[in-house]
Amino acid sequence: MKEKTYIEDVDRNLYDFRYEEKDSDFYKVDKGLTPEIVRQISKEKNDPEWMLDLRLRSLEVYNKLPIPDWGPSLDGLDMDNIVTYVKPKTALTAKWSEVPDEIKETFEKLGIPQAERESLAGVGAQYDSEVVYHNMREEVSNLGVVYTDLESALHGDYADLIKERFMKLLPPEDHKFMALHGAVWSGGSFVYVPKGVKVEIPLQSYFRLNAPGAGQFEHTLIIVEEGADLHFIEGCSAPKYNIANLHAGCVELYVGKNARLRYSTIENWSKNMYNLNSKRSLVEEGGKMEWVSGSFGSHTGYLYPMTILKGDNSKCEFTGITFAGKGQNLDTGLKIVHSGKNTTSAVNTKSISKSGGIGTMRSSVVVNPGAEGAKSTVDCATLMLDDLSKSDTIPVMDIRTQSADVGHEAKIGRISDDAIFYLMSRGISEEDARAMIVSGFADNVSKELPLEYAIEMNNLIRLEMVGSIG
Amino acid sequence: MENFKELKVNPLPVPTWHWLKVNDADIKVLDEGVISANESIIRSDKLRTGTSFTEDEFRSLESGMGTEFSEYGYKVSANTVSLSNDDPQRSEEAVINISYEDGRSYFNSYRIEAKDNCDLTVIMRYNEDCDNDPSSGFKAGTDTRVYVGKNAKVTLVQIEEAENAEIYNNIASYIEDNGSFDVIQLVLSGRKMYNGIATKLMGKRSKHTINTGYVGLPDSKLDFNYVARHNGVECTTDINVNGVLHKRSEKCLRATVDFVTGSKGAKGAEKEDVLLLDDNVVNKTVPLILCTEEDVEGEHGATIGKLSDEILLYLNTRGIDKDLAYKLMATGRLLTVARMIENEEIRNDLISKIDAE
Repeated sequence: MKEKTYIEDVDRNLYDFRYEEKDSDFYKVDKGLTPEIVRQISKEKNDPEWMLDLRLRSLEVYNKLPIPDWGPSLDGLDMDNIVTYVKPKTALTAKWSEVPDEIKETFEKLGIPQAERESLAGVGAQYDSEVVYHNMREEVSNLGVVYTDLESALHGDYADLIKERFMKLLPPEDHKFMALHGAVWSGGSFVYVPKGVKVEIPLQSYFRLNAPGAGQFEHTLIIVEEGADLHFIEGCSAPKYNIANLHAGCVELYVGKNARLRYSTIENWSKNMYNLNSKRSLVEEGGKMEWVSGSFGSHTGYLYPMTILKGDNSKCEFTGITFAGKGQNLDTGLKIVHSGKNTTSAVNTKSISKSGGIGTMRSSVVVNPGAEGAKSTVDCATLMLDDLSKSDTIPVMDIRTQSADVGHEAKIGRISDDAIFYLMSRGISEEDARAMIVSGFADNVSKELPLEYAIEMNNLIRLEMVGSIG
Repeated sequence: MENFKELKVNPLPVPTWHWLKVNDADIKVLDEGVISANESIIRSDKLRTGTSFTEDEFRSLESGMGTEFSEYGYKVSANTVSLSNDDPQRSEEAVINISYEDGRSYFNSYRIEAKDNCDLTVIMRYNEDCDNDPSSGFKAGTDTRVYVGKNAKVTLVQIEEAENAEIYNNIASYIEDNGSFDVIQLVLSGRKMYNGIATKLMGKRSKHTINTGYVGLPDSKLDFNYVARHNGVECTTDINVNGVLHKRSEKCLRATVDFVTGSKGAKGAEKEDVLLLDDNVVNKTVPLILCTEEDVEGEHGATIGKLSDEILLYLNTRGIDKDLAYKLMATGRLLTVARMIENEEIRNDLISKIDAE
């Protein structure tokens, strides 16, 4: 009988703490989704007129579009029971000392202020539907970099730019939950990196959803101008409740000519979360988009960052890992569209399924007519740790240019007996050998994760790989 | 007025984003007045014309083109040819030449069986004799169902050479312990071709191979759906597809390797190599691996696009220019598959035709 490696789940103790919230500390809209609720949110946020119009149009689109019929079940998600807007009764501040004690303590437990001091150029912290803290180092600010909450930016110097770009890459019509986002979005960050500016250390936004039965719909808009460079980190977590929570954020990234943007995400939502997040990037001539994505949490996940290589010689690199454990159905992957000439994409993904978890790697690589000289390599590897679990790989390649060069490889398997034997012959116990192999499987992805920048991420990514024979 | 019916065929076993238009294919078929095509069957007298595997059992099998097409076939098919080898001492072969004559719609059904320890090869050639009005074309459906007994082997060779054809080729198969089902498909012509194979590897150490070579001629459309369900312990599948696409041709290959719980030690590999000869082609490749069993090995690989610079340089140093290099590599893909055919006469005939192109 073959022996199995027992891999512990991601340690969630650090993230499942919570404070009992008093209604008096928060402003909430009613459960459900109606035009009145949408208007109420808009009024609360002091939206410009065009934004209210967008919200109401999005609601109409939401009501028309069907639930996706190709992914994990969303039967447990009842929008009539989701509160779409929960605002802590505190004002946005750039001083940590002014953040209310309970919220401050939450982020301190997650290591946010410590990470800011040690390794970040700026931090934004969102609690439920609103950003409560935003700060950036003075020297970065002096370079002309803008990093602020999106609501403030909507009324500031960049209002016209935001109007020009907001939900243009990901319009409400894209899918049902993008329409939902358009109707009730709140919070998120706006980043603007001027031409030629290279931000040497990362910016980080952290999203915490604390309210039970609530949705979080933050919007992140990043514009990296010609020749500029930025590394942006996104983290998210929530305590676990017995009722469904929903995350339907939107990330729109504009990478200018010869610019570079690295966008790193460690997603560790609680296992009652429906994570229906959408991300899209548009890359101009010579620009480079780098995605580093780790998906560990959520009950159900739909997550496929998309990159449009519009400009000639633009590039995309995607490195991702998904760990689907007990009770999880994580459908993750990516989409890449090659439109410019001589564009390149390189994808490397890893997936681990255990204890009945369902992991699906879904991807598409499209090479449009005229994308001469496009090159793409996709490499997917999946490790099955037991036969209770399920793992599917669903890639699509749609190639319409003769001079394209597209390669795809995928493998699925278990821990090799030969590798175990080799390590044991070197004096390593079987238990340790199995744990080492699993650790090594994820290593080429995890080494790309920016652990050195945010201690909090060490906690999120930590897999307790205890090898035991059973 | 002709009564047409729209069908969804070649369904992807697990759907993906609709905007990619790969979850299935749409066809329009004649719902009435479908006739059987002329067949000439060359076979030995030893080959039986009935099967032990019952029609109900054959119909219970999953087919590559899907339920809608299977139901359609049961309705319109007027003629079923059954071939069975029950003699373990003889390796049998049957050659079926199917000929289409005019602009009508055809449907033919085939039941193929190799009983325990037996070996059977069936070669099907799709040809045309369209003297009347070749431009009108014709639609030709076939439904082929295969049973492979214990330690038995079935080789199915299908060669599509009909220039004006719109072919629907539906295959379902079932393999017992240590059985082997090998498919060789050569698509050398045709306007449209929809081709689905679903195989249930039920027996332990059962084996399944598909080797396909295709050429997408200008303005043609090719649509494949290969599904291998691994149920038995240590069963294996190997799918190799090599193709060439000319201008304005479209091709979609769905190839799925499914490891069902209990298929311990199973292995599945799928590989496609597509050479694009012109712009304005559409190549879609969808290689799925589905897995609910830990102890398996699955892999897929695809190479799509132009010839690599290394190959071109190598050939150039041997005095072969770029155009000739592409021609050689294109015919090479088809010849590799043609050479797998054991029937010498047919093999040489095909090699001559491919070389002459």
